[in-house]
Amino acid sequence: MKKKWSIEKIFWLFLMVFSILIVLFPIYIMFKYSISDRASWITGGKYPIPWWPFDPNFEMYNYYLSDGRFWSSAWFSVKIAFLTIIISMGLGAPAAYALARFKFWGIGIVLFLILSVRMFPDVSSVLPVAQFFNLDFVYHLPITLKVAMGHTLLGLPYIILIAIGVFQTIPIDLEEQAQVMGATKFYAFTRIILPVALPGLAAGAIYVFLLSWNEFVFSYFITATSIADVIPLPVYLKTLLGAFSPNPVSIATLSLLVSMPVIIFTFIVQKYMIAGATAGAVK
Amino acid sequence: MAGLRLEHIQKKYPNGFEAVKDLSIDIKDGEFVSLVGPSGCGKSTTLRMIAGLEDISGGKLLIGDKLANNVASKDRGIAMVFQSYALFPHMSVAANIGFGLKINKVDKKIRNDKIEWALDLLDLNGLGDRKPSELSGGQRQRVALGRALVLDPEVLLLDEPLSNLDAKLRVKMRTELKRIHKQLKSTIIYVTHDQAEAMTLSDRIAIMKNGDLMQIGSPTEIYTRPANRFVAGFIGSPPMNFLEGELAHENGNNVFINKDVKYVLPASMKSYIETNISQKEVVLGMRPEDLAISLTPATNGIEGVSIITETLGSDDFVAVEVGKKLFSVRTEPGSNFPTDKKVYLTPAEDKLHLFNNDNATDDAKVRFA
Repeated sequence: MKKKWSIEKIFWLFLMVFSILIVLFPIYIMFKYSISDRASWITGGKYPIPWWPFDPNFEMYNYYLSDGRFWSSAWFSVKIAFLTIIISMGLGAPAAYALARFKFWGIGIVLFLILSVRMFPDVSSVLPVAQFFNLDFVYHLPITLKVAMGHTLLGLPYIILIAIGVFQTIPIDLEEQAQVMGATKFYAFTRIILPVALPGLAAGAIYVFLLSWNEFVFSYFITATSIADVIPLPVYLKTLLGAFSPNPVSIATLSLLVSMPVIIFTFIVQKYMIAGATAGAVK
Repeated sequence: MAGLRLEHIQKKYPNGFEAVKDLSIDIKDGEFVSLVGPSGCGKSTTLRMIAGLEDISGGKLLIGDKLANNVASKDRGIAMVFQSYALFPHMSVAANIGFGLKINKVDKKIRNDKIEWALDLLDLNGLGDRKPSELSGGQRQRVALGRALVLDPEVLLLDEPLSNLDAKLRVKMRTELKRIHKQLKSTIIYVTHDQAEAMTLSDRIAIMKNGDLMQIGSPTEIYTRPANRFVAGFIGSPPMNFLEGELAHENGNNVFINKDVKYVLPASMKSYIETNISQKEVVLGMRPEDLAISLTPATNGIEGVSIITETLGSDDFVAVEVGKKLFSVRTEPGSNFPTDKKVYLTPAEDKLHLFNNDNATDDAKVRFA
């Protein structure tokens, strides 16, 4: 008779709890610091509960959240992130489809060129990119678009790579069936392949959102060399930190504030990432 | 519904490989024709050429007397069911079935009527709103069939549609397909590697090997008068028993001789041998059910040793060692034939098969029916 609590089960349970703690621990520390008062962050907190501040308060949160520029920067970052997703998906998905389905001479070269964009560190390519956005025909584009285009440069290789993988898992039978029934390749792509590929592409979209939201180097240079009265959030945060060494409460609060939208966004798109979307199509 | 004609159809790939060499088949309106053969024989390639998914390297394809080589798939009047069904997973059953109609901009009311008709015909009533992932294998297969049937195609192409079903369901769906064929009188081209499926479903069977047509004829013809050794060995389960040897003449009779066997061929075969046998090396074939087995010596028989018996319920099969070959002989169920005994096999004289032993091409003789 099998015991309900075998040694093996206890071990795995322990391992699971341990892993969760390791992941959540830094977030907890950040949270603890963000609600700390001055005495707490110098000494480390209340005793005999050393992990909780003496006088928890949300003052730092109030301070930053009541700052108008914080909100305008955050909104700016959101707009940029979504625009980046739209541009990189719009370019990347059809490109990936072509690379996944069609065999043409030079396909290896094309793939290498696309991926080689990411071989260069951001800092080494940022100056030429920023200069590009100063050129006459580009300069007068809205700043949101310019930053989004810059972010697309960074995110497009990943989108293409992810999308190629997604399209390759979709059986070609679906397209052949549509073709035999009279659908054009475009119709088959938009009405059949894309809906089936949605969960996989959503993963790519989340990645690009994160990339854009956190992007500092490109955002900084592109906005600095252009006329920008609103700047993306990471750049704005840098301006807040100033010359003096910032207190941990500020940093913790800002970090959590920046992380929040990402967590919320991920929860929302999670339902589109249900595995097994293609189950039932074949066999 | 219309007929279909393949005239010297050829498929050659850029690297020189010929998947289909020279195929000519005339399919009549309303006929159910199966393309059967081992993997790689070219049957699926042929079907795909008919569907328009592969270019035709040579020859003519005529659908309903119209040249269709360069006609787009959707204008050929065909509908195809894939081995994997290829149901669109994000669409409901009804949407799947109505897909072809929607693309061709059929009026919504007519479309819905046709979908209802298909659901009813295939026993899928009430499942219209379900997604493919919520259906069983047999139901999915019927949805794929329904999707093809609503288009009212001239020719229906089926690519191993039953391969993914379990044995019991396969037998049930075979009957369903036959019923639908009878009801709709559709022209159907059916690709399968399962010879039993082809035998039970088809009006005619076309057997292919390595891109060549080995024989085409009705199931009975193929079974009783196979044109060559390949067809003889491919159709029928358990397969036909073969003996390789030489054709000799003794006392005005044709005699089959090899290391272990000397068998006098019946006089009734004389004319057949004169017309068809062109060489000394021959293959003698006998089906398990056409052999009588006995412990008493026979004057003109084949000697062997009984090894084991297998019971299938409706038949018993005795494995007999003849020289180095293993023969399968059918006996009455429950007869419990003794094993490890010297036995004598007497074939039914009107059921013997004799072929040229052309090992080089393994028989290029093709029969048309």
